[in-house]
Amino acid sequence: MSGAPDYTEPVIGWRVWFTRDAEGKTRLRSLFHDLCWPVREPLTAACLRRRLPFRRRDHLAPAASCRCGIYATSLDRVASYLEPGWPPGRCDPGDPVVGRVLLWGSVVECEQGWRASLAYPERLYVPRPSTTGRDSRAARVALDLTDYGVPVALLEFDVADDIIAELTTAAA
Amino acid sequence: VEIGKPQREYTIEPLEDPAPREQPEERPAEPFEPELPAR
Repeated sequence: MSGAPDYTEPVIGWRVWFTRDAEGKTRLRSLFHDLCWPVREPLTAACLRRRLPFRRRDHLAPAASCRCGIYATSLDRVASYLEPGWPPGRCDPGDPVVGRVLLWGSVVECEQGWRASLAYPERLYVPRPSTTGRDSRAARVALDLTDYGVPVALLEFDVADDIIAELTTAAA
Repeated sequence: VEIGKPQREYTIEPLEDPAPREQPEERPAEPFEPELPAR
């Protein structure tokens, strides 16, 4: 960044992650890229679009003309990513985690969300199907995710809409 | 995630670091030789 920034407060948005095991600990993983979110340091965006010979030169992420950057959106728009069986065709995408994320650096504000160059989770919610017992896998995931140094909560639910309703109430 | 078309661009430089970085461990105080008063 050069020159004076336009703002000094990070944008707060919502997003969904999957989880991934990394050296025996559960870590956040981006939905569309096999990218692990680092613990206690910001994730820095890079353009991961396939580099083809005729594609224009590499650029800093996010670029308004590209689709790159670290994404966040509103709470109501993340619901579809929490449905069981999403994404279709994947056997074991990992456990979904929903949460608020701070975005800063270079930001491209879009119609329904943002793309940014730097991000870090602000708080995390680990959905736990209400049919599972207390010693569920979700509890272990939640415990591991406390390594990120942000509040982590378990969220009991029956359907994805329950999660959104619960979080909407909490955010109000 | 579909978030629509870009509307505007800006920069954000938070006053405080948003990531709760690891606190560096405090170095234990090193033993030192007390200065003896000159005779």
